[in-house]
Amino acid sequence: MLMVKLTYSGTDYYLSQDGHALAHLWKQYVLSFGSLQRRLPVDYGGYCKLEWGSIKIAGVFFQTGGLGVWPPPAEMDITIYYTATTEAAAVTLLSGVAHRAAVDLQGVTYDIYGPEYTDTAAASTAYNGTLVTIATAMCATLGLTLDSTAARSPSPTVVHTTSYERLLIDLLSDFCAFYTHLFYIGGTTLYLVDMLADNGSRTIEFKYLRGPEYHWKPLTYEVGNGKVTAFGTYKYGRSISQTAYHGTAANIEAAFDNILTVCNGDWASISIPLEGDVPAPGEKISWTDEQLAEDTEMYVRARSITYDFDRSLIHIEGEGSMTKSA
Amino acid sequence: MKVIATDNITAVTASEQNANYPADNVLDGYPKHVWKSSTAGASAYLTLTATSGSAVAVFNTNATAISVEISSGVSVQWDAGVQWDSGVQWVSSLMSVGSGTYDLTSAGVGSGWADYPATTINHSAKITFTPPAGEVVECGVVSIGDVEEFEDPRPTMDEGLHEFGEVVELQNGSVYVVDRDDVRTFSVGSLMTRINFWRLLHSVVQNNIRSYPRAWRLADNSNADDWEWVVYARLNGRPRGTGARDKSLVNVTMDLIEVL
Repeated sequence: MLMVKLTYSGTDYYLSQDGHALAHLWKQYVLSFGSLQRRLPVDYGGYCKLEWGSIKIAGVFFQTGGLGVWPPPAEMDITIYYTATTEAAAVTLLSGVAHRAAVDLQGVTYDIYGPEYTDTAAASTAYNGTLVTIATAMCATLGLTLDSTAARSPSPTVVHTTSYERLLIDLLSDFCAFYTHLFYIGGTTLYLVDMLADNGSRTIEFKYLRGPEYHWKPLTYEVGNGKVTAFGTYKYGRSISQTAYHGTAANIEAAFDNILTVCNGDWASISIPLEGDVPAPGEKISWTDEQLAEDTEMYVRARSITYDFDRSLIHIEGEGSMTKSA
Repeated sequence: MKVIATDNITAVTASEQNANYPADNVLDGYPKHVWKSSTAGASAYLTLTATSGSAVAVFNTNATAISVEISSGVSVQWDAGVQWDSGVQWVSSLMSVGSGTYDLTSAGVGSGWADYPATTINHSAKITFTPPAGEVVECGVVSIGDVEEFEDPRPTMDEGLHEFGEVVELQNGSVYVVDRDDVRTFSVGSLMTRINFWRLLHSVVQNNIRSYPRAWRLADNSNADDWEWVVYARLNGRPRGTGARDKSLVNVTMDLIEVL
């Protein structure tokens, strides 16, 4: 069940698509919901940011007895929850601001904006510490709490001095991509995840939609920064230019090798029902496909997650491994 | 066949309510937006004020029985120059219009309907709900207003369900069902007098209900008077009639779809 809490002038309003009588009455005023997507800036890591969609709310909600405000307010705070059982068990999918976009005969469309993290690192700021240590310090500045449960151990060392002012969130994203980590933000927690390991796992017995897509990204044959280069197995394909956030060639080359591993992995897209627990970025999703030429074992680690609330589906894309069933 | 063509409720209060499920939820036209009492296993009542009416209908209630009492206030106007003598005080009085108790358990559809003598002044309806054992009372919609009555449908009335859910095919040939509530649908055919058809088209549909949901009692005769014929529904399209223009009877068809 998808639930939408709108907050206006200090009062909470409880909405849903189908109407749910839980601890609160979640009234069926949500007419439609644009898909939301989490995805990475580059295939091999960074900030797995939620890209916000829009929500259309029935006009009756704005009448007296509901919100009682017309024209509709320019902005309202919005929190979106999902639960398969009770309101107490609901998980927060996102919280942000809904900003008025359009009015028509049926209702009012609001665009949804996430929180922006505008703190910056000044020019000539020197970083020398582990990725976890640096992420912890940045989180403190951003008003977030770091969860490094799924980060690599030992955490790789970052050595870098900024040459110009950068947004902290972007700088952390770059550090993470270099070391094949991703991070995502849920509520006030920043989750740091090693892309070479699992952030939880689940096996799907059969409950996925017909026709998962299996594909390979354009082949990457080298990753380099102009001084240090790592090469893959093949000698053709694309070349990735990546800033190094360490000063030692061996460390840089090891980081570039990891980038090659992720980019040249076996990629797949799969759609599953939106029910039970919602997959997290980096979660390992495994299944057996008996419809291909040979029975195939596949897993991916979720890198791009799209929530289709109107059809109650989740689309997942990621890299992993394809093997023939024993 | 009856319909409460105008909803004339102006106020509602409850003997008790869950703060998240207030009494005025019964007035918003969404049966799934329920009023809930707060004491499990105890009866609770709604008191509604209406400007005019001749029937009360309830929808999406879990009550096993409802008791309906209709009372009308007595209006008094002072003549010029008349004033209170000392020691005289006002004692309010209510005139009972009618009351009755209705067993809702038979069909399990959560609907009920009570007719009462047409009352064209402000009056109140006290509806007492008897809950299932150990549960709080809940009710989705209450409608009070003037009943428009027409000829009952023919016995061959079409009835079915409309599906809002989605079925998605899974890899192994099984399916994933995005489950949403089904609603009941009716295709009603009735032989009406020309004057009744005109009243249905213009007084009721064109001037009042249009596409809004209303309380319908689709059949009310000795063969079909169950609560399952009491439906909160809207017109799906508009009524149509066929008849020779110089004849007194019209074959009328109209489609209704339940609202949740």
